[in-house]
Amino acid sequence: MVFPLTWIFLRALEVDPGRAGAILFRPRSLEIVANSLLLMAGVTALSVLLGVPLAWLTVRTDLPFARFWTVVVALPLAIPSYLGALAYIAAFGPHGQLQSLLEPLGVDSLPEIYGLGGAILVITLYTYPYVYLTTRAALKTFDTTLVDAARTLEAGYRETFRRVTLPQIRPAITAGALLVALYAVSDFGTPAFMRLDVFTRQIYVEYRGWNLDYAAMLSIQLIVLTVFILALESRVRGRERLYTESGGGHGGGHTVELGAWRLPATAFCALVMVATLVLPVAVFGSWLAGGATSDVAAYQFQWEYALNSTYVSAAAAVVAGIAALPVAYLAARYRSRLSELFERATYVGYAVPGIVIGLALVFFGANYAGVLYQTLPLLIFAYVVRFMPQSVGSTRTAILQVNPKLVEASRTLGRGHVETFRSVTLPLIAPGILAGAALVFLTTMKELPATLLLRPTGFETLVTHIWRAEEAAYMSHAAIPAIVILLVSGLSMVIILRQER
Amino acid sequence: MDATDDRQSGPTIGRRRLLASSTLALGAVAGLAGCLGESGDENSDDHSGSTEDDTDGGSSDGPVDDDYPTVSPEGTSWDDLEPLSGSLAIYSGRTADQIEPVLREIETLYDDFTLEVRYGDSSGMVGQIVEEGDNSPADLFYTQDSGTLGALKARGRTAPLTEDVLETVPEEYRDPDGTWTGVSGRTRCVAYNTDVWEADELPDDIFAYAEDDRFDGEMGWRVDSGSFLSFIRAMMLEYGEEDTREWIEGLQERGITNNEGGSTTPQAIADGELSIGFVNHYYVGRHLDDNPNAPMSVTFTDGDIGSLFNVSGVAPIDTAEDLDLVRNFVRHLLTLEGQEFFVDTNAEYAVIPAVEYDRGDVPEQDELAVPSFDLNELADVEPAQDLLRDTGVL
Repeated sequence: MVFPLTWIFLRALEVDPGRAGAILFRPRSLEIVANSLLLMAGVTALSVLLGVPLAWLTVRTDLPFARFWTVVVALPLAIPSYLGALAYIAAFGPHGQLQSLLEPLGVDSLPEIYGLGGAILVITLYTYPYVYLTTRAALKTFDTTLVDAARTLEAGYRETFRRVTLPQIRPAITAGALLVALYAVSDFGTPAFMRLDVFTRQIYVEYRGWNLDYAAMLSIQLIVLTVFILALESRVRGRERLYTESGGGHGGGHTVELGAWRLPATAFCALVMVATLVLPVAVFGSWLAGGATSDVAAYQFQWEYALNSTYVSAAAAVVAGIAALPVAYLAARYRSRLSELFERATYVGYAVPGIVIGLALVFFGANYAGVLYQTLPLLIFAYVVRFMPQSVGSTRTAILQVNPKLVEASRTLGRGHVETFRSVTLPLIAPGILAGAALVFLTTMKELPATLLLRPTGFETLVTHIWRAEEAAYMSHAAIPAIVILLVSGLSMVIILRQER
Repeated sequence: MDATDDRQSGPTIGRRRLLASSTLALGAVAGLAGCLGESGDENSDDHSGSTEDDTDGGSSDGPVDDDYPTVSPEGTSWDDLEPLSGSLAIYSGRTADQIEPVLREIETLYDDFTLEVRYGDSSGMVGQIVEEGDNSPADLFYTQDSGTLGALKARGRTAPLTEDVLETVPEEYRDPDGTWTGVSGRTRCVAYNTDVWEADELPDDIFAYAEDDRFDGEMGWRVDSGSFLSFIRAMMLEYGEEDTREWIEGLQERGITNNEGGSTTPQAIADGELSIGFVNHYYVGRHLDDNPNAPMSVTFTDGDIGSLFNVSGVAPIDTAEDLDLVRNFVRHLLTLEGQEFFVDTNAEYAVIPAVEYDRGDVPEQDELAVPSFDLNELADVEPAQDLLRDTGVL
C-alpha cells in the first residue's frame, strides 16, 4: 500500500503548479466532481435497496430454489461493468437491438441510456452483490434467538427487522455499501462508455497523453474523496453493535415463511437475473451469432485463458483472505487509531483506478523487485493490494459478531490463543472470510488494467482476451470469454457456498 | 468496403518520392531534430554511452552502421538477411490480429529465435517502459502511430537504427534522428452508414463537416486514442490553432458524439445511431468482417488532413539487451515479404518504394495527397490536449 502511495505523491510532485491550477480549477472540474459524487450516491443507495432484500430473501426465508438464487444474484459481480455497459448500449441504445424489436409495435425511442442515469443503472446492477454478499454473510452468522424472542413478544416482522435484525447486520451493509461507493468512483469503463465525465476519465485522459504526473495529481484528489467517504462511513459505523449474546451461528434455525409473497419474491429475483445476466448473455450471443464469418486467428478462444483467470483469482482470494485476517481482527477487537488506520489504509488501493496502482507497481516491480517483475507472484500481490479491503470488510464484520465471552470461556478452559482461535473463533467467522474471499475471487476474475501492466508476457486471461477483441473492434471474439467468465464464476460460487455450514 | 470511385479518378499526383520531397518542410524538420536530439543525447549518457552508437560520429544517438547484410529500397528478401537467433521481447500497442501472423512467420523461419509479444494500450506502453526505467525487459516498441513513437523518443528511451534501414524507408515515414521507423501506413477516413448517405453526398473537405447542418446529431469520433490526439495535433500544425478550434467547435455545435473504445464508433454507425464517423480506415474493415451485412462504408477527404496518413512503426528500446538482434529484426519487417504482408493481410500501406499498393477498396498513397510533415511533431500532443480541454472535448 505504501508503494503505490509513494509513487503517486512522487509523480504528483512533478506537476507544474500553474498548469495544475489550470486543470484543477477550470469550470469543467466542478462538473466532474459533481458527476462523480452523484454517481457514487446513486449507485450506493440503489445497491443497498437491491442487495439487502435479496440477501434477506435468500438466507432468511423459504424462497423457492434459494440455493440457485443465492448463486445467481451474486454472479453479476463477475461481469466487468464495462461489458455490462456495452451490452446495455447495444440493447437499449438508440437504434439498438431492443428498439429494433419494438419498432414494429410503434416504439420510436427508448429512455436515454447514456448519461448519469444509465451509468448509475449499469454500475448498480454489477456492484450491488457487494452489499448482497456481505449482508448475506452477516445474516448467516447472526443470532436468531433474538428474532425468536422478538417474535414471541408479538413484534411484527417489520418491527422485528427494524429493531432486531437491522442493527445486527448494519455493519455488514455498511461494509458492502462502502465497497460499492468506492467502486463507483474508481470505475472507468462504464462512465466512459455511458459518456459521463467523471474523475477516472480525466485520469485516463492524462495517462493516455503521457502526463503521468497529472494523472497522479488527479489520483490524489480521488484519494481525498476516498478519505472523505471513509470518514463518513466511520460516523455511520459509530455505535455499531459489537457482538451478540450467544455468539451467533444459528442462521439455519429460523426461517420466515413468505406465504403469498413467494411468487412476487421469486419474480423479483428473476427480474434481477434477467437484467444482470440474461440480457448481456443474449447480447453477447447475438454478437457471436452475427460474427460467424470472421475468424481471426489471433483471437481464437483458448481454454488456457479460463484456466489462467481461475488460477490467479483463486490465488489472490486465498492470499487476500489470509492477509485480511489480522487486519480485520485488530480493527474489530482492539479499536485504536492505529488499528483503524491500518484497516482504512487498505481501502486506498481499492479506490484508486487500477491503472495507477498498476503503474506504481510497474515502477517498484521493475526497479526493486528484480526477477519477480512480470511474474505471477507480483501480479497476485497487485490484486491483493487492490482488493484486500473487500476481504477485510467482510471478515471484520464477522469478527464483530463473535461474543468475546466465548473466547474467554475457551481460554478459561485452558486452551491456548491459537487453539481457541482455531476451535472457537475461526468456525464462527468462516462464512465472513469465505464471503470476503469470494468477493476477491470475483473481482480478480474481471480486473483489467493491473493485469495488462503486470502479467507475465504471453499470459492471457479471459478479460485481457475480451479487451484485445474490443480494442480491435472484433466484438464477436469477446463473446465466448465473456460467457466463460460467467460459467467459471458461477461454478466457483457454487463450490464456495458449498463450503459453508 | 466499397470502392470510392470518385476518389480513384481524383487528382493525380506524382510518385511517392515527389510527394515526399515537395511537401516536406525541411526547416521545421531540422529545427525539431535539433531540439529532440538534445534530449536523446542526455539519455545516451545515462544508458548507452559505451555501445557502438558512436560509429556515426556527430550525434552519439545517430544511426549506426553494422556488418550485417542490409535492406534496400528496391526490396530485399528474408533469405538475404542475417539469421535471427536469441530472444526478443516486443511491447506492442498494435493489436494482435494485425501483427501476430507476420511475427510468427518470422519466428518460424529460425530454429533458435523466439519472440515474446506483450500486447497493451499504445499510450500505456510508453508509460510502462518509462516507469520500468533501466530494468525494462522490452527490446522493441511496436505501436499504432508515430505520435506514440515520438513520445517514447522524447522521453529518451529509443535507440538508433541502422543506416541501411533509414535509406530504405522514405524520410517522411521515419524519425529524422533515426531512432524509430514506420513499417506500415494507414489513413484516417470518414466512415458512413450506407442507408443514410451516398458517398458523393459527403463533402471531400474535412472542414465542411463542421459547417453543414445536414450532419446535426449524425457524427461521432473516438476521443480516447493516440491516433485522435495525433490527428488533432496534425490539424493544428497544418492549419493553425484557430482554424482547428473553429472546426472542433463547429462539430460540437453539430452535436458530435465522443466515443471511447475501439469498437464503439463503428458499432454506432452500423446501428444507425450515428451515420458519420472519423476513424482509421481499418476499424471499418474489421467491423465488416464481423458483421458482413452492416450498412457501412468509408470515404476519404480530398487532399486535406481528414485523410491524414500516419505510420505504425517500431523503435528499439535503449536498454535492449542485444541491439544488433533488434535491428536485424526490424530489417525483417522492411523486406519484400514483410511489406507485402501488411498490404495483403491488413490493407495497410507499405513503407518501402518497391512494394506497390494495389487494393481497389482504398485509395493509393499517392492519391491521398495529404499534407505531409515530420511525424515526430505529432508526439508533442500537449497543445492538442490543451485545445481539446479548452473546447470541452476531454
